[in-house]
Amino acid sequence: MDYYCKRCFYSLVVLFIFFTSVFSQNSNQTDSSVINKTVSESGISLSAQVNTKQVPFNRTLELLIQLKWYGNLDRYQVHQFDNPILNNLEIIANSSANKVSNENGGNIALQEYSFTLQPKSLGMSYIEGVIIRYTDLDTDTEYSLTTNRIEVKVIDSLPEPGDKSWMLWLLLFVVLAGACIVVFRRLQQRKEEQIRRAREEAEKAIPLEEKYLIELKERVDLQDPNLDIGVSFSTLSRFLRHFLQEKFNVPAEVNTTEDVVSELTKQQIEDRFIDEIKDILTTSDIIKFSGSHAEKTELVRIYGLIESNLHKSLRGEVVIKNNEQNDSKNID
Amino acid sequence: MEFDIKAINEKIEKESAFVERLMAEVGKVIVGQKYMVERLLIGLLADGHVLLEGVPGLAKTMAVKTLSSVIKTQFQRIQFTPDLLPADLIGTMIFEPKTGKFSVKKGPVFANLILADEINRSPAKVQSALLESMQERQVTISDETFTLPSPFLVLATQNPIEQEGTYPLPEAQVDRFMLKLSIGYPSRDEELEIMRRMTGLNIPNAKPVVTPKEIENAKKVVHEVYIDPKIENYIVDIVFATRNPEQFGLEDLKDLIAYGASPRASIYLSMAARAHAFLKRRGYVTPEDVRSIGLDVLRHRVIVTYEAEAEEITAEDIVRKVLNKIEVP
Repeated sequence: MDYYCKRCFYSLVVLFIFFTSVFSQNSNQTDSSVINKTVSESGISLSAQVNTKQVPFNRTLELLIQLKWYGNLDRYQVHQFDNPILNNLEIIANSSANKVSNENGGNIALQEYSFTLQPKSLGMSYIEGVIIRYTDLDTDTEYSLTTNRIEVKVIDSLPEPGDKSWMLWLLLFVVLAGACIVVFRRLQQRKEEQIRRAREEAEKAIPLEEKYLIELKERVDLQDPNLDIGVSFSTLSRFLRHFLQEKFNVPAEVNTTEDVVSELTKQQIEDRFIDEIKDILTTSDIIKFSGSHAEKTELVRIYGLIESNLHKSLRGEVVIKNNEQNDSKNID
Repeated sequence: MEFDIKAINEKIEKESAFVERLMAEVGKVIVGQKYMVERLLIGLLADGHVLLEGVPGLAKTMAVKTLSSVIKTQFQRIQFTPDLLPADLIGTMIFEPKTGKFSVKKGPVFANLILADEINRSPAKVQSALLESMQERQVTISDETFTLPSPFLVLATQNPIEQEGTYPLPEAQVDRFMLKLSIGYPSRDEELEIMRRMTGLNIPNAKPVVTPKEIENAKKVVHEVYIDPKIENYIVDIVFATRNPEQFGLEDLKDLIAYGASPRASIYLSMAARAHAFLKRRGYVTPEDVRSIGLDVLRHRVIVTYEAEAEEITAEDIVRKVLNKIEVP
């Protein structure tokens, strides 16, 4: 039973680890972001960043393009630029903003373009480099800045709020756990059955008569000086009845002597054997039920009769008449 | 206590000599029915009344008449009818104009052997009158009590098929019969012999071959038949198995038995087994005797439930199952 419990416990642990990993994979959402930054000689910088390296299929991705320079706010004129070229992503929303702030007593100008991107399928997706053209109004010269390609991995969908799919997983877990228990139980039963069969086979290997001959010696010890003769007759009678029941399938333990003899006669067992059985049982009945004193010599005689009949049966000398007749017919 | 089995065996040998004569004489009239005649004798020897049940024409009445005729005893046959009165059975006080006094007129119950034919045809008050005399072995008429003669044996018959206009015996009254015999049909050969014997010119008659004294002596010896404690326990086991079958591995009978056998069953089973052993000329009882007589003692003492009735399981089936389950000592 301990073995069985351990096996079940280990299986449940394995299943638990498996399901934990599945759930953890689903909920894995990285916070890391990717920033590409390009800085020009004139001090204007361009950066493109995404808010995550991995995005679940049912979530969106934020791309932020940022132009930043120090000094006069009207110095640069940024030209209109196309949407970024996307691979396995699509734009579902965009916005732009201009900001001015003060840092260490100087002005900082900030132009931001944000895009909300939706993955199209599982796997890798790419945001190609963004090219931004601008004119330095002080020198009236045109420049361009380019960001690097950004790659984002699209992973399995996350469960939506109110989603009951976890129940399916739980159910699956329960079913698998149940199946594991059933399988192990079956294996256990099979093993026990094999052991039982092996034991039975081993017992069958010993002839019934031999088993009874050993038991006879254990039940009644004629050499015992304190042997109760009356009780011994009862023991021998019960012993013989048990043997007859097992050997000839007659209900000898619940039948009377007369009925046992009649049953044996019906089975066409040879007369001499039946006569001796009748003698043993009748003698035992007289001793058991008549209240008369039993002689040891009589007990020895009955013991000897039982022993000799067991030996005869072991040697196959107790034959059923029908079989004899059939055998002789076969010979003919 | 050492028991002298030789002495009792010798006594039995001597006192049972009449059995052969009796059986031979009865056999002159009754063909077959050894089972019934043997049981009637057991009833006679064990002081127990016998109820015979069987369809008409099975020689129930004839067997009882023949038995009474082979024993030199007083025999009375009472045909139970719906208009029978208790006084017709036990007797009454009669006014004698000559003397101007009431005198007792004893009824047919004052006999050694009584055949109560078709006992279930009379109303309960008549049945009660008979059953009371069976139990008390005395009758009170007016203010005088009369002891019934010994041996006193009531052999009642009833027909199991015609139930219309009958008064079935209540369980408490059936319980007073030691044995209830279920009489079956004779075999083909027996039937042929019956036909030849009863259609000839000289219909055989049984002659008295046994004296009441012999019966009385035999009854005393029956009481001396040795019954070992192992056998007594076997009897008690059987009776208890009808009350608490589940304690004897007969769980399936639990819902089929409404009431098990009473202690009277143990007493009668023990007595009947002794008488059976006597008939087999044995000075001690064996499980054989108990099993042989067990069905006749118990079949009317086990009351089955409605469930058993619905499944057409009879008390007899239950008793058989019990007898086949309890291990012999």
